[in-house]
Amino acid sequence: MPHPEFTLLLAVLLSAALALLGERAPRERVYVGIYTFLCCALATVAGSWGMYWIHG
Amino acid sequence: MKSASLALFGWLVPGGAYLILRRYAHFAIFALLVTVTFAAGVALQGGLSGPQAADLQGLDPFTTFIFRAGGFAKALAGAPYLLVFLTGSPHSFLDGRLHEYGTTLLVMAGLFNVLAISNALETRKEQP
Repeated sequence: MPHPEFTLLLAVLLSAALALLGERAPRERVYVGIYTFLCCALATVAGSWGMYWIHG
Repeated sequence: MKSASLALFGWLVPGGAYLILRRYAHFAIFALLVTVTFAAGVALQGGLSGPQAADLQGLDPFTTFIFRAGGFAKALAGAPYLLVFLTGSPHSFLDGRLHEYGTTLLVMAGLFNVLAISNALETRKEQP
């Protein structure tokens, strides 16, 4: 499985799990899921740039 | 039902703690999440077994601890783990080191199950 697909799979699974936590309205759960997914995407981009700067 | 019993059932049946609390939607989603994650880990040939003594030779204590913790985390998935483990997992710890995606997903399945148990216990505390 290529790296981007695996990263996407993990981000989706993590977003789904965190959206289920706590006492929230369904709409708020969607917001939490989207927010978590965007944070995962941001972390991936930041980590990629970090690896590029460190290793060249 | 006591917290320990709830946690034990929640470990054995993924999302089972929600089932006892009659939160059927949460139970269904977490059961599906843990099972799908675990199944994906097995499909990607993740190593189900924990490290043996021979696998840990020459490693520093921190790395040894991390590998053992990873082996323990996989077992936290409950019934899916027991099912595959008892029927004989074809993939050893070293296979898991090679197929890291699968191993990562197996560990995640265990951690998702723990997340479900802890959130269910917290929900039970908040209920009147």
